[in-house]
Amino acid sequence: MGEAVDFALAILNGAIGDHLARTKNELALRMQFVDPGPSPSKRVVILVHGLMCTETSWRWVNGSDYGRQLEREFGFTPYYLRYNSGRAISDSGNELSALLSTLVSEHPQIKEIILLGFSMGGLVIRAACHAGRDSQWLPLVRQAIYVGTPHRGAPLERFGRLVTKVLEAVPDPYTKLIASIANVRSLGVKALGEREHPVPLLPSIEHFLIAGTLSDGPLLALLFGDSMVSIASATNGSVGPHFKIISGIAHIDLSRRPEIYTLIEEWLRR
Amino acid sequence: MNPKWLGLLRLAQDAVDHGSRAIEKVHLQSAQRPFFVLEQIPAIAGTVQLVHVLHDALVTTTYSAVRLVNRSLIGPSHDDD
Repeated sequence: MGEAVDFALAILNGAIGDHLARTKNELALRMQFVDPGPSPSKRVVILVHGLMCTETSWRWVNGSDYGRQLEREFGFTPYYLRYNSGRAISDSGNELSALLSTLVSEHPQIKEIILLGFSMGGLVIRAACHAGRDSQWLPLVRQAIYVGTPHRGAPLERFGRLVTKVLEAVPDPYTKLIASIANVRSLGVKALGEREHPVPLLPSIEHFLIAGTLSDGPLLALLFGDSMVSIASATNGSVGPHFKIISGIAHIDLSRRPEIYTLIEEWLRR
Repeated sequence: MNPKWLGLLRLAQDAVDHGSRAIEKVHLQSAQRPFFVLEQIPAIAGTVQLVHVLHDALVTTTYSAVRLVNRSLIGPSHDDD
């Protein structure tokens, strides 16, 4: 029951979370690490979920997840973030930066941080790194991993924008009403329509980008990506060894597949 | 009251508030068309203008009353700030 309510709240926050936060509604999710252990090791991994998700989106069928695997094999203490994914990404980034500052000041034994973001979570990580330029925590970050992150936007949201604009242009009050209803999307959702993230990837951190594709066929993979995010967006249009494309996995499954963990593991061991 | 239930009530309150404003706008804009046509006929233009003003005032008062009752149920929303 608790998880079902949490999930419903995550969807609601993703859809209209900026309104909930602005109106100080009791349903607005507060950014927090869920069930953090008493004392982390000197290495921690921060897992940032995507739009309309909770930390349970990381969970594999067998109950494990990327965080637990990283803990078992590399000694990273996992910290699972929960946040209101409907807020502006820059706001979430600022808040995450502040949360990480608190974490490293309360636990000075932390010497290394890995940031792992799924979908929108990757954009929040980018925003946090930008916000934390002068912070104590950013120098501890060696690597950032982005799984299915729309660095260059998501076509679905761009389509939504187009539909809204067309409806708004029709000089009819009923059509305008439909347009205004269609426009009730959170700032977080609307940010996914941006073709460029407002801040660049920091050169001081190693970035590893993972893109999924639904189909093995190169043309279909190029056209549809993982069904939500194109390859070009998930890889930030980059070339080189710091990105991987994995086929046959839909967007929502990228956060919980052992095959993805294998890629992460290989990259960390290289 | 459980904070989540209170939040849900406040959200419903916001929905009624925003919804009533949107529908009020559609109502007024839709009525504008026939009034505009009738106001072009010189013989009845004066009367139609009077009816138009009364109609708009009545519509606005009715929707405002809906919002007033809505706010009075659980207090003003933070959206009013």
